[in-house]
Amino acid sequence: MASVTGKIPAFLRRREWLLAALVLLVFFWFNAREPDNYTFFKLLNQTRVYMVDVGFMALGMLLVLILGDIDISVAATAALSATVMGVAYRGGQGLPFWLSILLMLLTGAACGLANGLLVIRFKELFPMIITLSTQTLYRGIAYIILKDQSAGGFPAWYAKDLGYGSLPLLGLDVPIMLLILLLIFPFYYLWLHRTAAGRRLFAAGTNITASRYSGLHTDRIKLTAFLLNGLFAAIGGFFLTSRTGSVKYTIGTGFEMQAIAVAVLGGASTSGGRGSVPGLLLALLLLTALKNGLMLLYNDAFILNLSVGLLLILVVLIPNLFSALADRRRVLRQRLQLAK
Amino acid sequence: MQEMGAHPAGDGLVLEITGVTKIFPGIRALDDVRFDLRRGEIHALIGENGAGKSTFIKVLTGVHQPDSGTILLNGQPVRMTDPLVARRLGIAAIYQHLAAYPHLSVAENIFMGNEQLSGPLQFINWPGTRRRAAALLKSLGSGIDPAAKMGELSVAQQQIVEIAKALSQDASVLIMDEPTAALSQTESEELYAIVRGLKEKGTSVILISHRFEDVYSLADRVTVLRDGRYIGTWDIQEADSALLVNHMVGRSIDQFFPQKTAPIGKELLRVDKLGRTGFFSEVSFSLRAGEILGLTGLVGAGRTEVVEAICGVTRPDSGSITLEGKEVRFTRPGEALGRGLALLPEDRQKQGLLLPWSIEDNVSLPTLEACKKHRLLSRPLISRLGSKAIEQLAIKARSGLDTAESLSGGNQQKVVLGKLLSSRARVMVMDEPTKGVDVGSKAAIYQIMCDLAAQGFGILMVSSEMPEVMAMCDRAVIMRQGRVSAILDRADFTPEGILRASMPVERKEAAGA
Amino acid sequence: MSKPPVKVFNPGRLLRNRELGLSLVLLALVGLIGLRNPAFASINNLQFILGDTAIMIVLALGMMCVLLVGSIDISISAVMALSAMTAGIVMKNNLSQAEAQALAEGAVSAAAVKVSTPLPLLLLLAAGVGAGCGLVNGLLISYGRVLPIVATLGSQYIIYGLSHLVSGGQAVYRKDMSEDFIQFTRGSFLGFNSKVWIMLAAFLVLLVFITYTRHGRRLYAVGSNAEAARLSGINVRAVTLSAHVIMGILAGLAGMLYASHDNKITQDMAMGYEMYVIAACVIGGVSVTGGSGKILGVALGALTIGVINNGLTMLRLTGNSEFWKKAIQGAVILVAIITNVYIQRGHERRVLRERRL
Repeated sequence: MASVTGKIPAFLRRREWLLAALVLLVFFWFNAREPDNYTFFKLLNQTRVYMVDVGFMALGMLLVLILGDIDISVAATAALSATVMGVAYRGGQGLPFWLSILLMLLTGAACGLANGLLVIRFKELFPMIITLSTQTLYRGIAYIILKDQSAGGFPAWYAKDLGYGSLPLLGLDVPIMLLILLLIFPFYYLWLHRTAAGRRLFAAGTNITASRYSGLHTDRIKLTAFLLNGLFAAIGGFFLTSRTGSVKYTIGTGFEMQAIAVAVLGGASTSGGRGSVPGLLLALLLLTALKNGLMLLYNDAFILNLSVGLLLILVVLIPNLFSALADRRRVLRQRLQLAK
Repeated sequence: MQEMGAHPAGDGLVLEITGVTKIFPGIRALDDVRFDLRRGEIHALIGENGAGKSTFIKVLTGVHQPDSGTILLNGQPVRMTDPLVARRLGIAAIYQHLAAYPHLSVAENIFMGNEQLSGPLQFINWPGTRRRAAALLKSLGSGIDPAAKMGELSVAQQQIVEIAKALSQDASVLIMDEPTAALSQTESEELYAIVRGLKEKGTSVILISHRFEDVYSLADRVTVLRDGRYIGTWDIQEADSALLVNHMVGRSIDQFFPQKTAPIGKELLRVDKLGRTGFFSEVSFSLRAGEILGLTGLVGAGRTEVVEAICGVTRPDSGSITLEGKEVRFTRPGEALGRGLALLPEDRQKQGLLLPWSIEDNVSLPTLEACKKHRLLSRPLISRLGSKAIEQLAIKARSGLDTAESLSGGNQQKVVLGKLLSSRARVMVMDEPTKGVDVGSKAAIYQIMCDLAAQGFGILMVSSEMPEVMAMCDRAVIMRQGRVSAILDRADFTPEGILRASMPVERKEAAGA
Repeated sequence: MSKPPVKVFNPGRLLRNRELGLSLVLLALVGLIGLRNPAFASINNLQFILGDTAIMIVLALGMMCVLLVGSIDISISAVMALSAMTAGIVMKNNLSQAEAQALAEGAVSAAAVKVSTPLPLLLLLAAGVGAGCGLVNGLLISYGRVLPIVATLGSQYIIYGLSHLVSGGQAVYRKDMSEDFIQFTRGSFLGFNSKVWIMLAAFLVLLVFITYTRHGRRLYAVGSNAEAARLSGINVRAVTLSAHVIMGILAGLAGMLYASHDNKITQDMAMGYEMYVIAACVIGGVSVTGGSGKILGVALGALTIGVINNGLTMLRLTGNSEFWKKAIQGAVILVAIITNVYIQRGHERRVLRERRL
């Protein structure tokens, strides 16, 4: 497989077409079932609910997955960060809103930083178990702070303009938060696929030992990835809260799974060294279309999570099966050559 | 050279292997190999890295199934569909990278897969297991405690446990893969005695070893493999080491060492009493510009650990490193690289290259900052680095876009070199630069080393190959059991002298010497 | 050839014996908490803790098997829910059928007919469902080569979804349960709750399995050195699969215990319970990278968690201490795995120092 950056190799190009085709397929399938409710315009509006928060988390998760690591604590980080924001603001009685937002971002970064430090200091442990425990810890801290209550009372513009506001563009009502997300993509793409820093990330994920021997500061690369992941998670939580208007310690449950699914569907691999930003965007669209349709048809969070869980497993399982088959085919071919 | 069938027909042949081929995705590990083993003989199997020896063992022990060929055990054709079948047929192997369970006890390691059961419910009989283990160990002259955890034993002790394991399976064919690689002189002697004892009891042994002293001390016959193919079998008396090396390598070895004419300049690197607990201690030497300094000794002497500590891969616990007059302490290889100290690692695939990446991407990795235009990476600049490396080092590839994994061993090594050279190093540390490299590339690498020396580089070369050390180095540092035992000038190079300085000694000897 | 016996026995090792240390820590905890709140250390309360922890121990036994082979399973709480819910729905349906029939035949009240689906059958059903879930997890992980965390993260939500579907949106309450089932965890024998006896039975079975059977030892082998196990002819994939199936069966059983104890089966019951179980294993000395772990340690680890949990409630530190439990859980696991790392590093340093140089 040729290098990931610069020329996008044929393989990845194929995947993106496949994703685009799937998006259309899903759209038309649900549209047939619910022609009135499942339209492009309605979907666009619903991206608030189904796309933006997960989108940010997936962007962060991509960094960690490219490294070949995993971070289960993103949803908990989002919850904790949003909790800090809500409690700091205290419905207007506490700190000014901009400061509360700053604290939220700092919390997210701190959570990510903590994860990163643990991962690089304790290389004997896998990021899996580390982030599994920090997930419980972060949510636990949110629980301590907020208990069973919800923090709300945010400034009107937060919920109204950000959460539910749209900008008329090209005759469409595009949600503002969607615009913000989409605006990030081109910069993120450039950073990941076209800069030295992004290249180093891919290198560390492809072979961390060789990267280290080649002079890369692999500890710093890991730390940065986890920190940014925490930051993105916090931002995701920020947008999630803007449309619900309040925060509880339980928000975002299940989002870590969606973030991983989107990133992997978009081209990342749990073994590291791979990932694609355009692919992530398409995968995100696919997941959004899917979630939207499922909620319309069933209106059931359990079924939604069941489907996403299924998607996650299939997305990881199918490439494995294909490569096992390809290997077997290669060996058979060589054996046939031998027989001649 | 022996002809198959030139021995008394059918009598005394434990194993007769013909036409065995084994293919993996992309590589032909064994190609129409044949081999035979007489009852009660010790038959050495030698070849370079990648010659197919370890695949051969795995086929014999049922881990892999051959794609073609026949294996006759005592005249009967056998098909070993899995390791259990091989074990039941009496074939046992002791692997180079010990196949042991570090968390489990010695007794359990011996009997894993061959558990001693008792009672109506067929439970594991632990007292019985421990007793039998102790008896087996005693028969080998060892007092290792069967209840000890395997991971806490020394390598030599673990080896003995592995032999006990083979004994417990009543092996009639014992395969030993590099058994003395990490043993001291005394421990090797003890092992030889054990193996000879097994031979007397009628066990047939296939011995795989890089160490010719093993081969000449123990073997009755020797077979050479090269590139997965059978080259030939000789009686040990008929085969001198030059002949064997010739066949292993495929060519006479004297031909391709270039002349080294570089003038020696001032000191570039100095190491003073460098130590790392458990690996090496009191290591001191210096390297000058234009010099090629060899670092040799047996496997396990600590050479790679020393260079890793110098170049920042690991941290030394004591001593100092002085680079171009300034004392330095590196915490990671990147710092060393930045100061002009480059390391060509021992395992180029795991430590040197990003295999799925292209040549130019690999070569440009340390110097990405210099490949930027308007803050973004510039493909033309990267390509240029790649082409330069390909040209300078004569890398055989269609273009800089070829992936590293598609290249041969020698060309891969050149890519790693190209990567290091692109980062303006002044001191080059090379760990086994020609290991597993084909003959043509070896010559090229030697030439590159001489050219670098002529340009004023200082080169520290870790090598296990005597001819290489003697031909290329101005001086040689010989390590033994974690310490420097001798530093020889080129004028004083003799194979015996180097060997003697490499061979481990008894503790009390060293203290008195 | 004579050579002095190489005894690697170390008297210092006894002091470093983990189980001993844990027992001391447990005693210390009980003592300390008991000092602040004497009610905590009463026989009654201790028995209660034991009964409460019994479910966790049953699950931890299964988790140990999974961790031993180097895998993990975070879907166990979902498995508990699905197994209990399946059995519960069956029980509920049969019960209402039996009730209707009895009332038609002139029975006085429903209470008289509260015995219908035999308990053993329900338990078998739950175990079967659990085994099925474990089988799927195991297949994904060992044959599908899916990362264990990813496989069980996905299956967790899938299984909870199935639990939801099976439940039809309803819960199973006390009135829907057969008398047998309700009394299942209420009975006492020799002063100990029946849960404790069931846990003991599971404990003994697993103990024998893991210490005295070939298959049990293979769990250790696969986790300690999978490559060596493969070379020995051990079917690594099958062993990993079996560990997950064992976990599934025990999770099914635990689900029933939980449901009986709670007198309630909801579609999302036991959510988050898997972290307690993992914490118990990690404190008990099971390595998260596989290959080592003692069954006694696991039980002690679970007891420690049970004591901490109960102690927190009894101590009433900061208002209602319920809210601290989650964070403490996470912190405890972190501290335990980090401590394990330091112990391992210290050990390795010691081995390096002892090398002859």
